[in-house]
Amino acid sequence: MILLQLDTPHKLPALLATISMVLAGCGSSDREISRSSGSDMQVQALDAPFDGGGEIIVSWIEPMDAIDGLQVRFDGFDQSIVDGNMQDIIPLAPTFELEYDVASYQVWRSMTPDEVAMDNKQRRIAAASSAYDIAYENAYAELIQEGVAPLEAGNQASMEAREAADDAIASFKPRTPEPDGFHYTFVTAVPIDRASVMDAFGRGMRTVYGTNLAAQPAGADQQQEKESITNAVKESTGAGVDAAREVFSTHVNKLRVDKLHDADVKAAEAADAAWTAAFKKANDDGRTHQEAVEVADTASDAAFKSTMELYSYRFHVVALDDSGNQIFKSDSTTSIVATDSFFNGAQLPLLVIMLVLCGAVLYFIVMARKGRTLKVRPIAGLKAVDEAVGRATEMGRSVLFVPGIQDINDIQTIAGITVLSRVSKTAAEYDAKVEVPTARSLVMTAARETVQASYLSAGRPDSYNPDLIYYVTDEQFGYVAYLSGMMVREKPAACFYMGCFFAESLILAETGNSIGAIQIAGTAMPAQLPFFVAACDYTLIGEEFFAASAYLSGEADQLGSLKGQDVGKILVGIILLVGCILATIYSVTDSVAVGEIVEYIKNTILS
Amino acid sequence: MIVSKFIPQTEGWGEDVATWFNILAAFAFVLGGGNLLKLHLQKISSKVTGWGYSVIILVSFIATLVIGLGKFGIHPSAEYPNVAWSGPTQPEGSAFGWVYEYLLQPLTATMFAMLAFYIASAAFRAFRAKNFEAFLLLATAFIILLGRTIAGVFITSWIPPNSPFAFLRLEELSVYIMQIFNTAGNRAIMIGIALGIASTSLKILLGIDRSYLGSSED
Amino acid sequence: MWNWLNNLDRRWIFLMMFLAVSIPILIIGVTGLTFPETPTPLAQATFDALDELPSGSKILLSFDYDPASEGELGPMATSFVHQCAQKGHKMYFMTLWPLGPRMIEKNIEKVITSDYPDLQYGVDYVNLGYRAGNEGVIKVIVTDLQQMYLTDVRGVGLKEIPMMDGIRNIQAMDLIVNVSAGYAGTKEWVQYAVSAFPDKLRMVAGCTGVQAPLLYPYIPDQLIGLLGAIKGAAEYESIVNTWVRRDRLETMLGGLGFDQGQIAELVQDPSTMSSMLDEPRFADQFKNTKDRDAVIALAEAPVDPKYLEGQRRMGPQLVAHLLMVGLIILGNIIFFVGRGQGGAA
Repeated sequence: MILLQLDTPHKLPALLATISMVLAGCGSSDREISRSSGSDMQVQALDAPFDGGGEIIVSWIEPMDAIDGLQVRFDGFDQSIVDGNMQDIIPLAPTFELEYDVASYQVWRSMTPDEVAMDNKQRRIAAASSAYDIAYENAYAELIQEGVAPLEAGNQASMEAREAADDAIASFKPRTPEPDGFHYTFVTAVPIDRASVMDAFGRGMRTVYGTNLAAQPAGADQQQEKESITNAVKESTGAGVDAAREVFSTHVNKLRVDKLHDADVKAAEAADAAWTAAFKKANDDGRTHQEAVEVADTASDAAFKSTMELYSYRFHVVALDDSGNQIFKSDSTTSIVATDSFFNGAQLPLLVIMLVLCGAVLYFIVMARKGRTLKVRPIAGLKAVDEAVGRATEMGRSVLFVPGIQDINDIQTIAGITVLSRVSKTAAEYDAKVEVPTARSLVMTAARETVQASYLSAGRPDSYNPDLIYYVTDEQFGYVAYLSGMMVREKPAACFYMGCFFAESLILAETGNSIGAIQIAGTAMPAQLPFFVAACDYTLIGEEFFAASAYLSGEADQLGSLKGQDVGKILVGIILLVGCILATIYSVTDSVAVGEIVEYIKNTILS
Repeated sequence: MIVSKFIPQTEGWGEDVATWFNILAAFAFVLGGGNLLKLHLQKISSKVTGWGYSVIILVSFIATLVIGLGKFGIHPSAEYPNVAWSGPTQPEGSAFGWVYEYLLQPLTATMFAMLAFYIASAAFRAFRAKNFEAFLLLATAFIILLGRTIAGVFITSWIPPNSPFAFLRLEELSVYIMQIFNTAGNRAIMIGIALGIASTSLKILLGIDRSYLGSSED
Repeated sequence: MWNWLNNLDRRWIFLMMFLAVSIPILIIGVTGLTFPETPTPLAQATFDALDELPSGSKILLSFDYDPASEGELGPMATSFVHQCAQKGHKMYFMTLWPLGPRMIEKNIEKVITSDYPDLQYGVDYVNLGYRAGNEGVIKVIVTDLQQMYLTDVRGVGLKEIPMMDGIRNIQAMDLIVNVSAGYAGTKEWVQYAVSAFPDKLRMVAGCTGVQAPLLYPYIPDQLIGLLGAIKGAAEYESIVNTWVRRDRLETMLGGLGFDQGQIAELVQDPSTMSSMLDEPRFADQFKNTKDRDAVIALAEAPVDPKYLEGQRRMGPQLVAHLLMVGLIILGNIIFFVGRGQGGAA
């Protein structure tokens, strides 16, 4: 039952009686509801497309029978009149009760043979254990009353109870299947969307009601007013009911059933087993290989089909009233199998964004190859690389390069090693010493290759010393302790921190600062950026760090990728702007449509 | 891994790749250990300055390795009582647990604690109101520093908590700055980083950037 | 003088910082005094999230930190366990950090073994221990716990642990509590657990000061509450301590036959308990003075120092922050004076 109250308050006790009488005749037609079969309610089950696997959508149309139960009862106006001025009647606020029979639906699905077996087993155990408990309690109480000692009573009672449990198991009858031969299990309950019914009723009613009252002739006498209000309420209520019916009849309930059993996997297993068994039997019977294969194939096909049938699902829907009594029950759907879809549709927006971003990068790479000149803003930190290495050479001290504390699978480490290739090349040209202590063995290997290649391309392969690139420890602070100690002892003239850093960033940078080294840092860890900015001479912030490779190489291809990245930034900016504007509009106007778009952006695109 | 995001049948692929990486990294650990031994043995044999440290490193390396692998003082787990080495790696009371508790833990905590000293000296040196932006940064720093302690509550406790100016109380203001301005700035940097990662990954996948493999051609 | 200040050796700063931290530690250690804490809404929300759940709710506590950050995160982890134990929640401990199991053991020893000996391992709390794989572990256990955890940290099969009965995955948890020092931690829990099952999983977290700004965007949808660094820990700790005292008093007074109204009045401010109990309407309710003394003792007993770790650490933090402010001001004075002299010269 639903109570509907139109918002504007009003007041006219004098008319209440009349209107109530009028309304008694309206809206409440026959409440006869067919409670027999569910022929009116059609249930459909669909394997959800692009779901990423195994989901089924169950949908059904709410039957007209449910709407026939719709009844409107007028409960009067929600406030009494203050003065007798009839003009004040216009924004009347009558209170109604909306009644209809169906309160909720239940969705049931068929069970697979395994589930039925498990269900029976559980119920058998439950029956046995409850029989045991009851028998034990009764027998024990009796024996104690007869004066048997408690310990002995316990023993005897448990023997009796065991017998009772055995009896219960022997007499246990598995649940009988439904007429279609299947067992069904409850999936979920779906309440009727009362809000939308109420909404529709309210809207339908208000439109007609307002129009009717507006049409009232000016200066009408009391009798005329009475009539006009009466008519307005009568007609508008009818309109409201119609609108509510409309909602019922057009509304399709949809339900997503969670990931179900992989019927095809089961069927394939059964088919395999059947094939092997049939083949063996045919062989044993002395048939030729060819014949045996044919027999086995047939058996396997049959097993596949029958298992598929057994492990697929059927659904039916039951409509219940407020007190939980069944009003309708639909027929079962035909069997349906939930299969993995090839593409997961929920990820579509992500795919689109990814394609646009990658497309933009590729497009500009192609454009750059075709000879379009691209301008890149100078990055001070990268310009200073040569200067830093040069100074180290002049001072006769080494260059320290720290590639972060993450492994080579971290993109920051790779970006760091890219910078290392440049640093080591410059060092090779100046004949300076580059020392690279690493926190991971794989990073050490990668760094060695890079540095060796740099020395080669600088034309000084003989100067390359792999021992300067070495592994220290995986332990974060152990690594930091080593680095700080080494910095204080050897006093490198230039320190590069390029990679993924955590709490050690400031310890390293401050130690470097205290020994007066030129320091250049680059990281994409937002939390560590402030520390590097405060203590280093130059810092590559986030994307600058990733742009370093392109910038240092100066290759057209790489510069093109930077340009493509900018397109991504514009795209993100647009989405941000649109999202902010929409969210603001939504919070100001409360518009349902805008709200839906905001929700879609939030829950679908951004998740 | 990208494909497995969109095509459910390939979901396992990404995990497989990650497992392969872990296996590879485990082998690489031997490489790292070997390198460590070689380097420090070299240092010791050639008696370069500070070779004493190398001795300490080697001794502690080998000692920890033996203690950890030997599982000294560890009882077999309840589930497999007959398998001698089935116990957990570092329960309390075991030799490895002792190394952990009395060596590793104090050492790492010490290193971490040194941050406080470095932050103080960095703040003293770098936090100068050189221009207007730097001044803003400085003011924000004061608000946060004070707002995170009881001092902030004392300084602005005269602003009644229910008045319209309650947001000016330092503890409120510091949370506000962290939640609004800081988040906005952080997000901008993170978006830039994410795009940078995407484009760098793409370059690597397409083989445009091979410098990390040591085959840069410039 | 200016010259000396201008080229101030940073070791002086280190010394000042050392004193700024060590002196308050000593004072607080000797006197046991702590600064009062006024809880911010985030700390209160964290407490409420655990408090609103009925006793016996399942709480997953993932302690993803190691000794390096224990100073910052230990107190809040202790308080989380303290609140859960007092409330009677079922605690499922786990960690994504290799050094995490010791952190869990420590808190179990500190809170459960010593103060709540009635709680039984396997029935009221269980330590699942560490599993390698960072966010990979989270991704798996949100749908299938058995795939990652076949045994607990002691090697006992999960099937033999009563409180694991019926728990197929961590969606069965009523709340996730995460204490994290970085990767893998709160961010990963939010991304792979809470965001994946927003209807089923709720979470509160505690993190280091450096991480906190990165986690604010997740409040309040994905994170109900967040404790940032020692400040958040201290606030939360003070709420928990106050509540624990009240809760115990309520139980005790209830057992002595006081009615709800009286209990509410008495526990309002436990520090005034002895004077309140002198009033005849309360005094008459006691059958003997032993009960009365017990109530007063509980009401006025000092909080165990192990539950004040967070608040005690606020003292050094206060002085250290003030020193930082002072140093920055000093640095700027030097800067401006130096610039003025430079301009004049």
